[in-house]
Amino acid sequence: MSVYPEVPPCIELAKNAILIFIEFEAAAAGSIFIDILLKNITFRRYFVIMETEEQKDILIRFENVGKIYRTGQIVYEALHDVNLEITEGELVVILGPSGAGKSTLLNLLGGLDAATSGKIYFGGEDITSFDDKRLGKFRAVDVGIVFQFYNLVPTLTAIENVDLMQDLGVEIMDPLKALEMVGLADRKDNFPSQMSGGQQQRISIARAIAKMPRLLLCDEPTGALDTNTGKEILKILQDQSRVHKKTVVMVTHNSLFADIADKVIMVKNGTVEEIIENDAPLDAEELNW
Amino acid sequence: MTKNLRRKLLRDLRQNFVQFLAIFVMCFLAMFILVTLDSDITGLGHATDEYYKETNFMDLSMTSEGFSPEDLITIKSVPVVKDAEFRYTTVGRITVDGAEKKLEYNFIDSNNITSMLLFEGVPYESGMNGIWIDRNFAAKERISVGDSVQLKCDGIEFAETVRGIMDSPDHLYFMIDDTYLQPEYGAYGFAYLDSGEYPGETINFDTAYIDLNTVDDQFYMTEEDERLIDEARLAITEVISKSFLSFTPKNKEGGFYSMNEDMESYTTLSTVFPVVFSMIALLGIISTMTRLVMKQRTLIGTLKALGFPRSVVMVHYVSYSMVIALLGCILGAIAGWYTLGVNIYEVMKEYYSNPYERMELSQVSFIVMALITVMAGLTNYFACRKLLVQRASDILRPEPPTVMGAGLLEKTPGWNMLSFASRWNLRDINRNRLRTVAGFIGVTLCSALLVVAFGANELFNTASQWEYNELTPAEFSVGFTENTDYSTVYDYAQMYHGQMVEQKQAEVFGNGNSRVYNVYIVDEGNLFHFQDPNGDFVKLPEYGIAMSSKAAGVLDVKMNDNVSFRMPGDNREYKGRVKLIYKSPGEQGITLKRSFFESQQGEFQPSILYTNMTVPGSYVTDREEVASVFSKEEYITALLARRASMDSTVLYVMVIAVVIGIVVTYNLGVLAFVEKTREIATLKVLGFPTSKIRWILQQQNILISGLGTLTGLLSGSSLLVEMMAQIDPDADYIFPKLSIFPYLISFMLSFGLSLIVNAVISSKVKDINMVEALKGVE
Repeated sequence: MSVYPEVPPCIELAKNAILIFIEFEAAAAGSIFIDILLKNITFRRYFVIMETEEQKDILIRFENVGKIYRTGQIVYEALHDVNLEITEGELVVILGPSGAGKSTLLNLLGGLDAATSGKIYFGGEDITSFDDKRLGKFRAVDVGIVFQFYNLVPTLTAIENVDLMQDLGVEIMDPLKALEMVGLADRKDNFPSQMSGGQQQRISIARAIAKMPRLLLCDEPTGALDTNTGKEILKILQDQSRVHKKTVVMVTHNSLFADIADKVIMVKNGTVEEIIENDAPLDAEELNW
Repeated sequence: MTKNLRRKLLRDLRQNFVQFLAIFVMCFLAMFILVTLDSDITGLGHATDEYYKETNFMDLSMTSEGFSPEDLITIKSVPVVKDAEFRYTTVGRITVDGAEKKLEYNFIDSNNITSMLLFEGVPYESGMNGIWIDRNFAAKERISVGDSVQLKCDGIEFAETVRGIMDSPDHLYFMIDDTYLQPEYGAYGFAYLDSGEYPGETINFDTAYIDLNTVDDQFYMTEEDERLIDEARLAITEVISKSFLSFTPKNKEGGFYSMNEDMESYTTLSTVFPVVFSMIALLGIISTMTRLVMKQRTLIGTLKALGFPRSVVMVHYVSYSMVIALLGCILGAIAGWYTLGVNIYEVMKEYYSNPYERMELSQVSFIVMALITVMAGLTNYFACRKLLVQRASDILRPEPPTVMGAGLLEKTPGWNMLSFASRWNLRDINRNRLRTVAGFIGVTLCSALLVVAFGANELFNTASQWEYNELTPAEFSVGFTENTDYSTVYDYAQMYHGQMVEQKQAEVFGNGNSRVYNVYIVDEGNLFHFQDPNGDFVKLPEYGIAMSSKAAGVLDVKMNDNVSFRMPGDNREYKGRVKLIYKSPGEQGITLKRSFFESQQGEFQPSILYTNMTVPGSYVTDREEVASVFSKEEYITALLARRASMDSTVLYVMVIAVVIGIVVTYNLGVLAFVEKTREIATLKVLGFPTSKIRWILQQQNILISGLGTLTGLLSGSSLLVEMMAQIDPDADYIFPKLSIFPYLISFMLSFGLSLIVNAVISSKVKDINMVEALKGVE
């Protein structure tokens, strides 16, 4: 028996429910399945849904994290003594003005950059101790990244951009299914240059979620988009958290986005100024800006 | 590489077609010229080597007025001599279908040294009757084994049965007599017969072929081999006392010498051109691929951020340049082999009769191909590594603009007086040095190659005019057979108002050096002219020796130095001071007046008569004493025909030069234009008219192309001198000097092409969309 890494879209879970996934083959099931086995059919999956007490697992923990940039003689402290925790399945918005350190925070979260001091734990493992190779594997398996400017490969079609994740050697969902999830299955053979900014961002999200990562990092995902397209993107990201129980961390300078988050981390001058828990987040469609 | 990255690679290649095409073309040209020359040189060398080894080619030959059987025993008794054989060689006739043809007869007792290579029939054995005829002649005259042929040798007619069809390595480069200026295989032939078949009363062996046990049979000789042969020559001279004895070491044998000279000519070309093209290719690869990798900085950062291992990204980007370079190299090699390579090979086949003749590549071609490919890969490797060592977040940040301090130029007082365009262009050049250097070298190479090509063409053409119109302007020359007496030649001279000349190969000594050169002894007349190194016509000294400037250079002889020479078959040593150094485009050597030669008791035996009167060509067949009759036009035609393979090489060099010029200029022009798009768009937004912007862009091009072209013209001139000296060490074509034409046309082509290409690129200024160009980074 193992914990199934993804909730099938057909199953809607209560907030305090956990999903148990059981997988066994007929040969292991004993003689009662002998007839099935003879017909060469393997009994693979069985789901049990149980109501449990609410249980919060800490996915990410920052302990006294600092980051200093050095350019020649110039030393710039981007982050100072940051402490925070992010729970699995949360939608977290990191808010702050330009130059506050929020992108640095995101880069450290995703293993794109290394902290100068302190520890960062992901699922109990200290990622600050990872070497470059291990960090690469961490990003490939556990982290999905959505960039402000999409960063798609311009010479690959939509579906090929998503399928690119398979080249990483990690198990991914059917790329077409990922495109369906962002509503762009019909544009699968289009190149990025043939799509609007919003569509490109949705391809970028499809690429990020296709590998079913535990953490989805979004750097100003609506920064280059108009309001309506931005809302569509926020809805998709919110669904990733609410429906698919992904941990979604979004960096933005737009304070309105705080309303849809489960947790808001306010960053200013390289420090965490405030962490706000939001008990009643709005639906993304309800946002207005 | 993974499947999606493979797709990306192919589409990127399509999207950056011009840049990749430029790299492809450079690699193509480098391998094209290398494989062309390598395939011929290696093929010729190996084929000759194989031929010599297979037939036990002689190491040394010696000729005399006659050898006795005792001489053979004496020669064989010399410790370094492994084996020796005698032969008697004479030119006679063979009657085929009622027509007489010339045939060289070789009468032998044994055939273990420089043996026949049999194609049909039975192998020769001592004492066998019959005749063995060469394959080219047999094929042309449809002579087969078993045929009976009518022969005439030393004036005696006889018949023989053909026992075999063969070829022989001492006839690798074979002209039966002076009637031919170049080999015409099949028009005449050669044959082997046992000495017992000699139709005369007694046979007089005149040549000895010697096989040494200290020297191998190979074609590729070392200096040590040459030394050992010389030692053997001295050892033999000590035991055999013959008058008129002369030796020919293996490397001075006609076929060997000619083949070696040809190979050396092409070896120079095969080194210079591929090296230059490879360097240009690599420069193009470095300037283009480094930019391409940098252009994909964000993408590389994204791939790293997505978790792609460094090795996967590296392999992906390294394969860009490697795939293109390898493809260019392979296709260039194939094209070089099948076009110019085959072309030169076919020309060589006209000159050399070698059954093993073939085209073959040496390891050098493969090594250079691998080197170019690896270097191309390394270029991308280092460009990519520079990014990949950084953290993903750093790569994803846009590259900070290059910080350039004010250079020395900007600190000069005149800087601020320069126009905006000049300052903008100078700063752009300073910030893009590699691109500028690549462009400069490309244009330099283009114009240098054009000077070489057009210059060589002019020199080949003018050399024949110079030689046959100015130095020896006689309309006809008559060559006389050996042993023609003086009075016979004198009668011809009287009849045709001609000038008699004795021409012989002789060993010339000067300042402790020696070399075999042509010696011309000239009778009174006005058909043999001389020019000093300044180009002024000068008279032959009455008392003293005139020496060609190339020979003087080789022997390190200066005016008034003493030199001497020794003619074959004459034990006397003739001496004299050098009273004139003259320029000679073709043959090098010494010239002296008949009166000076006779003052040293020399016997004047004229072999050529120069005349302005028309001499019937029928004399060659009608008169025993006449060996050849050539008109001036025939000489010029033969000289040009001899240059046929060189001409096609020159033509290819011209085409290559133009292609390089266009490709380099266009590629770098496009690169520069793309990089400047935002700046150009800004200028447009600020209200600069299109024509003004185009002029700003053109100024930089005019500067780089102009400097490149001028450098190319100067270096091309030096390259031409060096190349011509290597191609034909005995030639001295660079005289008096090149006309303005090669420089002018090279300048116009090189500079003009560059201007046109850049005009085409700068015409895109009007199509720049200001809004799009000034949008965000992405």
